[in-house]
Amino acid sequence: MSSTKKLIIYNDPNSAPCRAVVSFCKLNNIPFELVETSVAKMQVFQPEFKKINPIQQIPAIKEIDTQTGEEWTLGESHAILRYLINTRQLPDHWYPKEPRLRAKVDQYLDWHHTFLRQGSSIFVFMKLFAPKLFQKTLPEEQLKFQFTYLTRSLSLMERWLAQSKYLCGEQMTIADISAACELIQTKFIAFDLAKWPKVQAWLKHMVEENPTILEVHQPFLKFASELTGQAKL
Amino acid sequence: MEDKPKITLYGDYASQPTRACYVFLKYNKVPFEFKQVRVTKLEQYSPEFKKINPNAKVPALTDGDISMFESHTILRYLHESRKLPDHWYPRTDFRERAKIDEYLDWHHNGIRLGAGGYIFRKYMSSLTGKPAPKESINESLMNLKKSFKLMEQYWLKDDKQKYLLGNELTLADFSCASEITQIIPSNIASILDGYPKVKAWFQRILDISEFNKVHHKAIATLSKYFQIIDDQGNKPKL
Ligand SMILES: N[C@@H](CCC(=O)N[C@@H](CS)C(=O)NCC(=O)O)C(=O)O
Ligand SMILES: N[C@@H](CCC(=O)N[C@@H](CS)C(=O)NCC(=O)O)C(=O)O
Repeated sequence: MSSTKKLIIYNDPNSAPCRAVVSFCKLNNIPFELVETSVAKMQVFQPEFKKINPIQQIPAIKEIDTQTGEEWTLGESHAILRYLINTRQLPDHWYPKEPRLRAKVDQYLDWHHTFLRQGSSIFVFMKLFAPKLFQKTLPEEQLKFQFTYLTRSLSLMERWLAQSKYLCGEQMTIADISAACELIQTKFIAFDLAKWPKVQAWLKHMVEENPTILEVHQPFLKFASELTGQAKL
Repeated sequence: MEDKPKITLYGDYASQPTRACYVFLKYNKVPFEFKQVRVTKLEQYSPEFKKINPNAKVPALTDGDISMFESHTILRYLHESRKLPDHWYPRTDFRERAKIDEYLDWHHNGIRLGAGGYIFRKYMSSLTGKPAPKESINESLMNLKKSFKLMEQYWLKDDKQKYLLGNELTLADFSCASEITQIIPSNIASILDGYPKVKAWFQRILDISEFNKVHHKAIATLSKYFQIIDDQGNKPKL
């Protein structure tokens, strides 16, 4: 079906869920076009974008039928990943059909929103980007509270990775992609992963085995290292 | 048919995601056993429960030798493993399925952030010894209003549509309505009047007898408790 369908991804390279969707497409040779949609420039609030994603967040996708011109849009990174798997002929390991294996992946994906994402992106934003970009420093107490999400998330991931090579089993799934794109940025808060050795090894492996992921992160790494004066990797 | 239920749902009637799973099982007549894990007594941190859910939250589910947590995962798993009717979460119409997933993914930092956040900050935070400041209670209220507005303009845009994603029930309906239930006994119940489509849709879900039975009880229990706090301010003597 994808041959008559054109895929557009509304993307901001500084957004972890966007990097997950773009990395996934590249890893699977799914053709797409990018439309840069900057959060900092408030482009998610423009009326044209609201038509693409009424939730007013990125990533979002649009599929255009090149024969009929029919268009269809979708938001939410995990919904997008699931949809791409369902509609493209991709290897089963990304999101296994067997209900028990699938539940493990869903469990990670659902948990992610209120745990790793809170501890990683949201924490890094509050701690680092808010003061540098918007001159807004958050109270230490709030940062501490947010930080507990990071440590609690890492401890659970450490447990999962003690049982298997990847987060949800012996093979790489979309959970690993989503999680890796979140965690890569923690290096900019001078955060030492060494207390979670399995997570540290897994992240290293994810990046080394999948140069595509690192390549997708380049614009973000450049942006963050300029902002913080830290080395890119 | 097996004679002993293999499924055990762990949770608390006072927990919105637990109620969503509970009602889904009842509605679909899937046999299961319910085990209470009382969040107010911190039973979610007990070693026995943490064996089932190391993340220490309710609900959790066991099916024979496997266990899982996260309510949306539980709903998806039950739907697939018990071969429940397609409309809940279509198996071949991938666009319909994707729109349900989009709702379910938004839910956590969408409706739950506002509704759950408001109730926690306004009515529960004082129990933890750290009553939430007014500004943060207000922030939750703003989030809730933002979510209701989005529901009005997006999921419930079409006047003739009965449910969140069309004219049939999907996994999204029970999950979303379970969050809204807790607003009914609170001091901000009247804000729903500003969102007539949300209000009409919620009433439609509340009229489903399996949903009503459980939620009616929850509203009555919460109502008593919220009233005490509304009367006494932030330092309730219970
Ligand atoms: N749950 C969403 C999160 C999306 C999200 O938070 N996107 C951010 C950028 S990383 C955004 O668009 N923020 C703009 C805003 O909320 O104003 C997903 O996984 O796609
Ligand atoms: N995303 C989870 C949310 C689970 C959750 O937050 N449960 C609450 C009760 S509604 C809980 O267990 N709270 C106890 C605690 O955080 O200690 C789901 O959908 O299942």
